[in-house]
Amino acid sequence: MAYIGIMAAAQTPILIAGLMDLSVGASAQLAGVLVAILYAMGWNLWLAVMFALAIGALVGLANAFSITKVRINAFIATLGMLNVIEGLALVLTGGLTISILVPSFQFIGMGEIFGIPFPIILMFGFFLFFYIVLAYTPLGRSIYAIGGNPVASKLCGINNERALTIILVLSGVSGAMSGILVASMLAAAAPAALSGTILTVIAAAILGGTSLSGGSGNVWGTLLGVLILGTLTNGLVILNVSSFWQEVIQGLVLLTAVGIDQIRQRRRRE
Amino acid sequence: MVDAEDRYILELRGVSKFFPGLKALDRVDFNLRGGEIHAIVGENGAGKSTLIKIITGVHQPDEGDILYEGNKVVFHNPTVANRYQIAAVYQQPASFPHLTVTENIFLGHPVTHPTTKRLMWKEMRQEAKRLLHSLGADIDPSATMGSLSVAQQQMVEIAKALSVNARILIMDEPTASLTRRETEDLYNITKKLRDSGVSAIFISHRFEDIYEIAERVTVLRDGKTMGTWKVNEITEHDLIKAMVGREINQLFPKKTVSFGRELLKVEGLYRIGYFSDISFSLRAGEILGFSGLVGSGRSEVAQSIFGIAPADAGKILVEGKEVSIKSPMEAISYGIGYLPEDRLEQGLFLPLSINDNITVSIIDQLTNRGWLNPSREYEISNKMLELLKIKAPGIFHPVSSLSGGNQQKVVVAKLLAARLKILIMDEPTKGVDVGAKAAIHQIMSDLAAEGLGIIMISSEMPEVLGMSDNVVVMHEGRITATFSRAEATQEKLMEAAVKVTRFA
Repeated sequence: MAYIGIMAAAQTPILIAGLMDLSVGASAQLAGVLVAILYAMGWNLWLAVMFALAIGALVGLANAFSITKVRINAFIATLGMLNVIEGLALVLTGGLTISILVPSFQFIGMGEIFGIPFPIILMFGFFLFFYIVLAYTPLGRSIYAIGGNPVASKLCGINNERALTIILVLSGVSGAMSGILVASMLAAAAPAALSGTILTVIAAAILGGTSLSGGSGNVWGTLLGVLILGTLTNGLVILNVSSFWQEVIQGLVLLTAVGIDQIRQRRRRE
Repeated sequence: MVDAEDRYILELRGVSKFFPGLKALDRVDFNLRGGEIHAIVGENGAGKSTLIKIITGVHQPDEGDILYEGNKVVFHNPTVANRYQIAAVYQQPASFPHLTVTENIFLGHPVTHPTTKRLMWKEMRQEAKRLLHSLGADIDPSATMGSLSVAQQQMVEIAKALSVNARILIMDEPTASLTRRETEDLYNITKKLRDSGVSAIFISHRFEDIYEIAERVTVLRDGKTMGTWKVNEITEHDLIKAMVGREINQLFPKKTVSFGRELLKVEGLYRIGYFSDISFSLRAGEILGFSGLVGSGRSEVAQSIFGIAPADAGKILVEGKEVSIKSPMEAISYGIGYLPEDRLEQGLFLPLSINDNITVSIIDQLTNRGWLNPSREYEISNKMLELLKIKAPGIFHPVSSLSGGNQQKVVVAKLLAARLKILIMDEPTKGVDVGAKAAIHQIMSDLAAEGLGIIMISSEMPEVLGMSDNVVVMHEGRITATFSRAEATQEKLMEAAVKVTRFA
């Protein structure tokens, strides 16, 4: 669940700003694949990790360009990007799973510090980072303002483009980090391992009270959403519910979450 | 009542309409004869639009009666009004830009086959062609509405009115966005329709229109009927007097201060299609009023100076230095602030708290080594709450929980909190109650005394006269007159505001 959490933490400010980044799950896949391929080519593993994170940032920058400069709707821009990078990951691997057998790399996904699994620490670190950005910096405040009313924020002298670029780049990096985490856990990178995770990511944020229409939300709510969905999945596994039915139930949870958001907003208006 | 002279096609008797906190219409009387063009004039906010909405069934009167050919009728909704063959043409036609001209004309009343109910497009196209031809308009019925000019779209709207055999045609500032030539065409068509028995209600800010085509004119002021005259029996001067002749009964406390250095100078500012040849100067301590009618280009000039829609030519000098302002961000960096007229749409962050709304534009200045500084923020917000008497349980409540008037005050508070040198305020007291109005005026006066320069765009005559040190009057994108506080009178301002610019 930690990899979902990292992506959801980064998705929260994007949703608050009134946008959506659908490409983040695909960025994760590409990052895992890049680490595996570059390591197989003889690169230093940690250099490969750094490179994958940089590519994640570049994907975020490309999204920011499409959204703020070309002014493509964020949903479409990141949906297109999702296809591009998912395709690239398949092209690079030929659709095959590549293993990464390095004990020190395994630490990211399997290690523990004082008995706490490292992925949990990493996820918590991301949540804390985005919490600080949103609650304690001018950038965070402008993200709420942009989501609340992008025209008014511009008239207040806020640089909408700059703020959106920063959070989209952070989302790309978070996606890459998630992908590296999963690759480490599996000791392998599979090009299509994370297809569809973006829906869980957005469901978690919405479940945690972040509004799809922008302007409100916070990361701790998102964390709660991640925990609820994680518990649900684990519970279903323990109850021996088939993975097919798990899909059905997760879909219903997403619908319920969005439905609750809508009803809540209507109440607020009335 | 059986006298032929008294037989009106439409009559309004003692019609009143109340909105929360506002009496939009106060026992208005109005009548329209068959085959007559009747003009309605009045200042912004005099109640013209509300009157139209009552006649077209959009609003229902709270008091009074509507008589159609002498019989009392109730227009529950626009469909009912349509049944009485009442149609309206607006300044900006409310049409469907992606549909064709034919589709627009027959929307809501298509020609269908008597038995199969099939849509008879060929017949509709022919009828559309015939209607447009009768108007002398050369428009292809298969063209999409969006590809036409505003004037052509108006023609289509008129054709639509004819297609339902309208007997009463309401034209709401139809000439406002037309060229001279198009205006002439519109006059001719309106006269032709009148001769064929259609009655028209013609709303316009342009006296030229009224004297050119109307038989009678009714003046509205503050929601009341000031009278109805035959146009050849009332002079332009008396008409203006009837429109503005109210007493200044509010107190405007602009203090007289000696002006300081020149803060802003604008020279020959020009933006294609909006305004041209705009020059003025603003000094420290001065409140410069911008008067004129809605659509005269005042707001557009303000938006160009603030960088929302930069001008195409001309110079802007801030404190003697020429600057190029391409975005609001740059304008703010030069110390220019802007209060948009449409505050709820362009100024308010609905999901955010009162505090976050007030401090959002100064958030960068309130930081402590890059971190937000909540105690400073709360101090400023609380001060603003008190200063503007914003009725709220506290600064942490969402602005969405406040009343409309208090939301307005929050937007004003946001601008005042920014502590800039030059403020451009578009209708600073629009929609706020009398108490808040006085508070905002007091603050504007204090800020000017502190050495700020304020440009105040206002459609309220008493506000312009009471608050401004100097007044610039605009009409159709040009400055038609400039008055000092001592020279300015309501009549002079109105005269300059409705004057037809003679193009050299």
